[in-house]
Amino acid sequence: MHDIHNHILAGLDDGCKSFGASMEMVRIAENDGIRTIIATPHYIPGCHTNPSVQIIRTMVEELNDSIKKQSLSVDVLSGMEVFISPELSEMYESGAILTLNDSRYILIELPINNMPVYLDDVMFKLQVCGLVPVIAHPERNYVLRRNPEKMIEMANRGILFQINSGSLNGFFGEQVRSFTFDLLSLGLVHIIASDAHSNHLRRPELKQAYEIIQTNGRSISEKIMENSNKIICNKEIISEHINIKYKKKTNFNLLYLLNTIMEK
Amino acid sequence: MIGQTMLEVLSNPKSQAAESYRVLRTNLQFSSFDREIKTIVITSSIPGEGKTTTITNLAIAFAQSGSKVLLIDTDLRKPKIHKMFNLENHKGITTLLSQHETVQSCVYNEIDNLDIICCGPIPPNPSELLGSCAMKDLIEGFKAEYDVILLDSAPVGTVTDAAVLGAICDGVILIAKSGAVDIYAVRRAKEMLKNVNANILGIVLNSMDKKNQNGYYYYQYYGEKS
Repeated sequence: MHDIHNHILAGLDDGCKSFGASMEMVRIAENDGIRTIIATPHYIPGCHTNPSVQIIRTMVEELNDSIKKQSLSVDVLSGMEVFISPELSEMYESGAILTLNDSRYILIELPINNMPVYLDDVMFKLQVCGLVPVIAHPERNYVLRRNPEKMIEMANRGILFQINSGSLNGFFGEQVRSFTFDLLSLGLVHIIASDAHSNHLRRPELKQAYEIIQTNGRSISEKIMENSNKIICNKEIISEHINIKYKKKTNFNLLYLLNTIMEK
Repeated sequence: MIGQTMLEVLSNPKSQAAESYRVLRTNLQFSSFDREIKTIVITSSIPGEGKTTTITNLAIAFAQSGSKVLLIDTDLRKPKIHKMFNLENHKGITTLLSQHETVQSCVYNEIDNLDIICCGPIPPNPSELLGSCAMKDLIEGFKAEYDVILLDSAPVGTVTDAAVLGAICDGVILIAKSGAVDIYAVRRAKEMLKNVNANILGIVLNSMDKKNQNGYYYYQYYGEKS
């Protein structure tokens, strides 16, 4: 298994606090069966505490060195979780932001409560640069939860969605959990990652999430697992066109009622 | 390899369907006396009438007759040409219009005489991109290099893209799928194209029921017996 979204580097963001904790996270990941971790510290354009590309690369190297010394078999790669901003494509071209393991895939974070008006524009500009946007935990965005049609439209434009393992077991609440299952059945889940922030609460574990998905179908779970591998190897992920209209769950369906009356 | 199933002209060149595409090609070559027709947009009234199938087969028929052909996927809503030819859709007309790529890097050459430009990433503002000056300049540039330029577009009854393209191209072909589209929808599509002064070259009636065709018996005589 590969984990493409993980705040394992210490002291760069709200993730892991110390180097010891980073190593503890590596051990948890190894016991869970994770072989590769992409370190994706937050990068919020305009914020002065952002980590530089150089710092991320050196820290990844240091972490890999001590993993080798302790003869653990986890590989850490460099990456970033970039917060959406109108100038992302320019920042990518100037080399200020990192993609996932220097592949064509870029991990993008959306606000939790709203949807920026420039979203489509930024996504297109990134695609024109040859990148494939991967939206981190869309199930946690309030607007997308209310409006999954927007997600279908985005997926049909070649944008990928990464859900958190914690969303499947209810860590982010029941609303998020049930919506995540809706996404699974619509085929809107391309990747699963841990989004781990520490070695106690949000841990780098994926096994349980994949087991939950397997109840929905073995082939889906295998496909999602393979997609993470494709991101690391920079291979193309082909997503199918989705035509389904999303139906909101309602207890009282007026149309259904009318139909039954008409039939009588 | 190319997705052969829909490319009748290539996979089954002696079939009736392939012959129809060649007839369409010849008709287009002789359709105009006073005005040279180089850029042709293909559209329909509603989605799913067979635009892409027709345009790809027509493009191959043109290429086989020795013309230098450029096929562009200007359906920036549901692009399909890359699927017909199993091409990657990372670069295309949208990257060209955003001036991120050179023309050479976007052109695929799968068949002799036939160059293909895919759609590229799907933009948030397709009609504006197609109506831009950059698009006009691009097409003018291609006119010097190619004999025929075919543009696949979105249905004119649903979105305005085809009308925008119709205004800057030499001619428009409307596809009508027999038994699938309402006559009023086709009339409305025609009306919308007329509004922008597009030159409608004709209508292709697609998916005709063979039972309703009279007088085609001699095809069997001329066709190869298996």
